[in-house]
Amino acid sequence: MAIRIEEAFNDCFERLTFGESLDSCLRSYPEHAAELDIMLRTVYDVKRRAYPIQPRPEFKYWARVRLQGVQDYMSRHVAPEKVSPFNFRRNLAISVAALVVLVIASSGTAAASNDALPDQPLYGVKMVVEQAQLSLATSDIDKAQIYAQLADKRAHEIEALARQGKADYLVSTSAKMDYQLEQAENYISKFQAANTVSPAATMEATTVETSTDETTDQPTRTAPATDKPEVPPAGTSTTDTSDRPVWTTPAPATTLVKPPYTDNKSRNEKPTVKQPLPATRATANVIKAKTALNTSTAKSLATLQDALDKAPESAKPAIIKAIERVKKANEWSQQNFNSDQDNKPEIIIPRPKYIPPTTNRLNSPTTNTVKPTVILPNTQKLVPSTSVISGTSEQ
Amino acid sequence: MLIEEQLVQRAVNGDRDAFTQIYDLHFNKIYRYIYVKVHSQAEAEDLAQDVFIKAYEGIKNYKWRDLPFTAWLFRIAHNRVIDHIRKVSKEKKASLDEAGGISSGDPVHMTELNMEIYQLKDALQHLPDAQREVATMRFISELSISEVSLALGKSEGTVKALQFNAIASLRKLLYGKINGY
Repeated sequence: MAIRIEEAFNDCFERLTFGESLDSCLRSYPEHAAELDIMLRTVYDVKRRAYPIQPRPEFKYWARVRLQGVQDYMSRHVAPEKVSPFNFRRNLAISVAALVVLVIASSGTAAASNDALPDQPLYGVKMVVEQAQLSLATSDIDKAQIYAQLADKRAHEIEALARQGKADYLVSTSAKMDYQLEQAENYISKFQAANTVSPAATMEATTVETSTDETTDQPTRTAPATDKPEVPPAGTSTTDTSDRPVWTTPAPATTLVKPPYTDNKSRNEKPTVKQPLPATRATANVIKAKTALNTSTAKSLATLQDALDKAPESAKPAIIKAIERVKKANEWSQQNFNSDQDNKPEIIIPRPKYIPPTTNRLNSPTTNTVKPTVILPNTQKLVPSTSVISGTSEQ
Repeated sequence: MLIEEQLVQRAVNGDRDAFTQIYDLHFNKIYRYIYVKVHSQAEAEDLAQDVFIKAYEGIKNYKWRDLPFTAWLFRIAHNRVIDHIRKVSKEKKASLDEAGGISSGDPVHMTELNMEIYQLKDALQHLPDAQREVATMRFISELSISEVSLALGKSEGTVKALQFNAIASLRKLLYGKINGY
C-alpha cells in the first residue's frame, strides 16, 4: 500500500531534523521524491528565515526577573479558595472543627486553656479552639466579629504578660493581635464591598430624606406652600407619633417620590425608586460587626494602657506599638460606625418614608418646637409647616 | 518519567526554581510563535511574558496526564494571542518597519534578514487559520507532531495533512512573489 505524501513528508522532515540527509530520505520515497524535494527545501527555507527570530537577551532576562517578582507576590498573597457551601471538604472540615470544639469543651480543657498565656502548655489548645471557632464562622461578618474578640484576648494576654514581666512573648502576641485586627477590618470591608454597603450606599437606601445643595453642602429646604407635592396613592398615608411626619406606601416601595424642594434642580429630579430591604440587612450586619470591633478595641485600649503602667521598661515599646495599632482599629471602626449610625436602621426600614427637614438638617432653632403638618392622603397634599420652610422658601 | 515531566511536577508542587527552568526552556519557542502572529517585537515580548505569568498562575491545577506541558503552554499562548489580536488589530497589516527588531552588525545584512522575516510573516498571514497554526508551531516553534496535535486538539493525521498543505501554500506565496508569478 502506497504511503500518502503527507506521511512521507512528515517522516522525511523528522529524519532531516535528526540529521539525516535529504537524498537519503528521498530514496525512501521514490514515488514522491520530486515533490518531497521541493517541499522539504521550502521547509528548510522557512526555518532559515525564522531562525533569527529570537527574543532580545536583555528582555528575556528582565522578563525572568519580573516573573520571579510575580512568584514572590503570589506566594505572599495566596487568594482564598472559593468554596461552594455544598463543598464536601469544607463541610467535612466544619464537622471536624465542631467535633474538636465539642470534645475539647466537654473535657474542660478549653475552659482551662482560656486564660493560658503563650508560655504555657495549654496555649496550644487555646489556639486550636480559636481556629475551630473561625472555621465554624460561615459569613464574613461572623469572622470579623470573632477576629475582633480574638484581638481583645491578645490584648489581655499582653497585659498579663506585662504584669508577670514576661516580655519575651510580647512581640509575637502583639503581632498576632495586629493580624487579627487586620482580619476583622478586612472582613468588614470585604462584606461592605460585596454588598455595596457604604455610607453613600446607605444614604441611597434611605431614599428621600434629604437633598444636598452642592454649592453649600447643606441640605436644601422645603417647598413653598404653593408648590404642591406629589403624594402616594390615596389610602396609604399614616403619621407616626414622633416629630417626624411619615407617610408610607404599602410594599413594594415603588411609588416613592421626592418631596417638593424649592430649588429647580431638586424639583426636576425624577422620583427615586429604591428597594431598601437588602441594604437594610447588609447595613445592620456591618453595624453589628463594627460595633463588635469598636467595643473590643475600646476594651483592649483600656487593658493595654493598664499593661503599659505595669510593664517593665523593656516591654514598653511593644505595648506602645500595640496601643497604636488598637487605636487605629478603634478609630477605623468609630469613624465608619458613626457614618453608618447616621443613616441607619430606623430610617432604613423596608417601607419608604418622607421625612421633612428637621433641626439638624436646617440648622434652624425654630424647628425644634414646631411639629410639621402632614395633610393626609384624602387631601392628596403634604404641606410642611411654615416654620419649617421659613428657612429657605420664604427667602 | 521524563526530565521535563519531573521538572513540571516540581513546578506544580510549588518549586519556583523549577518553573524558572521551564521558562528558560520554553521562552524562545513561545516568543517565536507569538512574533510571527503579531505586529511588533514589543507586542511579542509583552505577550510572551504574559503567557508565562498566566502559566505560573495556573500551574497549580495543571496535570500532565491531561495534556503534555508544551501543548498546555502553547494553548495559553494561542489564547493570549487571539485575545490580543481581537483587542488591537482590526486587521492591521504587518509593516516592514514593525517586522524589524532583528539586529546585526551589518546594516545590509540586517535589512535582508528583516525583509525575509517580513515576507515569511506576510505569507503566514495569507494561510488559512488551521494551516497557519500548524506551520507556526511545527516549523517555527519546532514542536513535535503529537505536541501540535494536543495543543490544537486535532488528530495527528489532520496535523500532518495541514502541515503539508501549509508548506505547499507557503511555497507558492514565498517564491511566487519573489519570482513574480
